[in-house]
Amino acid sequence: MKTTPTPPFDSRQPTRPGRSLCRLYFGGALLALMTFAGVGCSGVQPWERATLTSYAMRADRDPLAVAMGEHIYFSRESSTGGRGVGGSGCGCN
Amino acid sequence: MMRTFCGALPWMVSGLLFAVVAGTDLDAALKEGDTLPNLSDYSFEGTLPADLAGKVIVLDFWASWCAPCKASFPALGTLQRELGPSGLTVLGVSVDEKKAAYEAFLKKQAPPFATVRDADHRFVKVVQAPKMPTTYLIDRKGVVRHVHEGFHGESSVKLLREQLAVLLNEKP
Repeated sequence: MKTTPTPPFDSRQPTRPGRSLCRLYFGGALLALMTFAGVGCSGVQPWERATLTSYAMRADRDPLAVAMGEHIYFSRESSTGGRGVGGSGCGCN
Repeated sequence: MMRTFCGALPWMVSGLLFAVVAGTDLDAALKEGDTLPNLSDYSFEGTLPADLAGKVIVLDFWASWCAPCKASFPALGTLQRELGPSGLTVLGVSVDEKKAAYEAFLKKQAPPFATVRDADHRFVKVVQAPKMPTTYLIDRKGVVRHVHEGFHGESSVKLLREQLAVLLNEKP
């Protein structure tokens, strides 16, 4: 039986130049965007901490909420006073 | 793939360069041995002391929301009262954004030394004060000799007194 030989596949065969260029610039732009986004974070300077030091930013500003949080914590973890009170946290105290 | 990488290389290099430049603090912080910038170049709220030339200056950056700053005020006031006749001038520079908080703090503390407000943070950005409070001791020639970061109670006062005694004994 005679088969028709298939042409060898050449992966290095050049693609259309316009498409290649488009890919190239897209890839470059994506990498550049990722780099720029990576440096987008900035620290708060010591003289800009007025808001951070305000009373509203304190985690313990509401005693009732703190008490409820503690209750939930020891109920789930079985460790009375496991956060903020001395003890091993084994639930035996 | 290789061609894509090679094509993207300039982008990556430029991006990394940008990252380095953006991450670098271009403003040089005021440190020991530097000359104090000309204060009249900055628009402070309040009046600067007129006779700073030839004086030993305690330049204190503070804010009304900063507890150690509050603790440092009586000590700085005592230094001003005791060492003022020998040529010491304490100058407080507030970095408060809220004018009302600044004024309320001053009303309560009533410091015996001059204070101004760097409302737009132009001066503190140049100085790059590392903490609140930061106290710079400047000699009679206008050179920063010591930098105190924070206020640590009696130990800070003791060190300030020792260093100021040396600076006040120097000739202009």
